[in-house]
Amino acid sequence: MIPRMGLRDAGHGLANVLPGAAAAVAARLPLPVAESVGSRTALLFGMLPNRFFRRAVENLARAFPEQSAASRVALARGAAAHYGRETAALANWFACADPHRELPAICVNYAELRATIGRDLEGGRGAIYLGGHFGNPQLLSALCGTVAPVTGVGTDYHRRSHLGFVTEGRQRLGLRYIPENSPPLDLLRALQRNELVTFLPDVQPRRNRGLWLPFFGTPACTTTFPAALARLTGCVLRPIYLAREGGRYQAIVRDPIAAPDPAEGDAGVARAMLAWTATLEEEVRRRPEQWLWMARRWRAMPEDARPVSLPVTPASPAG
Amino acid sequence: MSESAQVLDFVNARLARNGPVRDTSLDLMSARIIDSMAMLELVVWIEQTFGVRVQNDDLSAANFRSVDTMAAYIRRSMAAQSAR
Repeated sequence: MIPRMGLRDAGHGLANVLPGAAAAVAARLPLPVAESVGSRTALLFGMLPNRFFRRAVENLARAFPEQSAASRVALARGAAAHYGRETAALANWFACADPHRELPAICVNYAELRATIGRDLEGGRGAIYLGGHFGNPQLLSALCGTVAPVTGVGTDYHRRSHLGFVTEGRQRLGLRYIPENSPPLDLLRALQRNELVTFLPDVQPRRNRGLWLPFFGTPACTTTFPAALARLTGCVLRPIYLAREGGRYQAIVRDPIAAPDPAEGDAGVARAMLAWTATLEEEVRRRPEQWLWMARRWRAMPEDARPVSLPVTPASPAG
Repeated sequence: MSESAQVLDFVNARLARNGPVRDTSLDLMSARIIDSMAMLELVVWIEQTFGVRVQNDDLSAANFRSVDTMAAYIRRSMAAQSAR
């Protein structure tokens, strides 16, 4: 039987092809033109029926239930335009002649970012930077990479050729990425070499292996791996984001999270990840149009799971 | 104290949450005692305790499935290191 292809499938198929096609064009255009093409292409994507856009609207409904359906759709279109603009900008930066020399100029507070990284590495145990699908996390890694070596965890886009430019760009900028769900020894080694490790923990862990932490008031399964790795190594654990500010970007450098003390047990790991998820929620509330989340962030909680309730108190000071 | 006894002590002290492990051939992965984070804890402990360097390729179920396989892996690694 020949499968029927409906408008929904066509929209989804196009949504799969558009980012790669737009990136290929964007890499060859002047940056402002590329960004304009990117945002308009993504707006077109937002008008087509597809599951990514539908999920974005659903996520916005969960996050901002007080808003009307019409304003959430408008917000989702704004987020789609942001996504397109940032994808185009990323493709453009990945293709530029000397990104390490040119990238710092795009960040209004690059000096602060640089100083922060310097301080975080003073302890000699590396640092874990926790971001999110907000602003432009890829460009943030690239900016950090101009200061210190960066190892991240990311999707292996080799198998998804339309986003292959991301993998190629990472390699070009010297960013090391290990595929999700691969042995994490490289992350440990990076910290032992006093380098940076980046995580985007706002993704669904496999088989719900995480804690159900409140995100916009609803439990969302969240990996505890970064906090557990910080507990193991004693490295710095810091939430950090990169938000678009007009034609440039601002690094949102949040205070470091107290690394979990082994004596706290699992409560310390929960406390640390709760602190991170609270910062992400705050930043999304400030700039909801820069929230790029188009997957199911809130899934059904299994019956035997228990949400982590607020507050998880920090360990009592010793002595 | 044998490598096997040391590994068993570490597993029971740091990783086993639902009662102590007594069977050194127990599949710790199937029993959900070892996940990716526990594996890193084991790597750090093995390197500090036995002075061997764990390689990426060594992080396999064949080496880390049970207390017995870990003890065997540690013995092999120590022998290989002293042969160098």
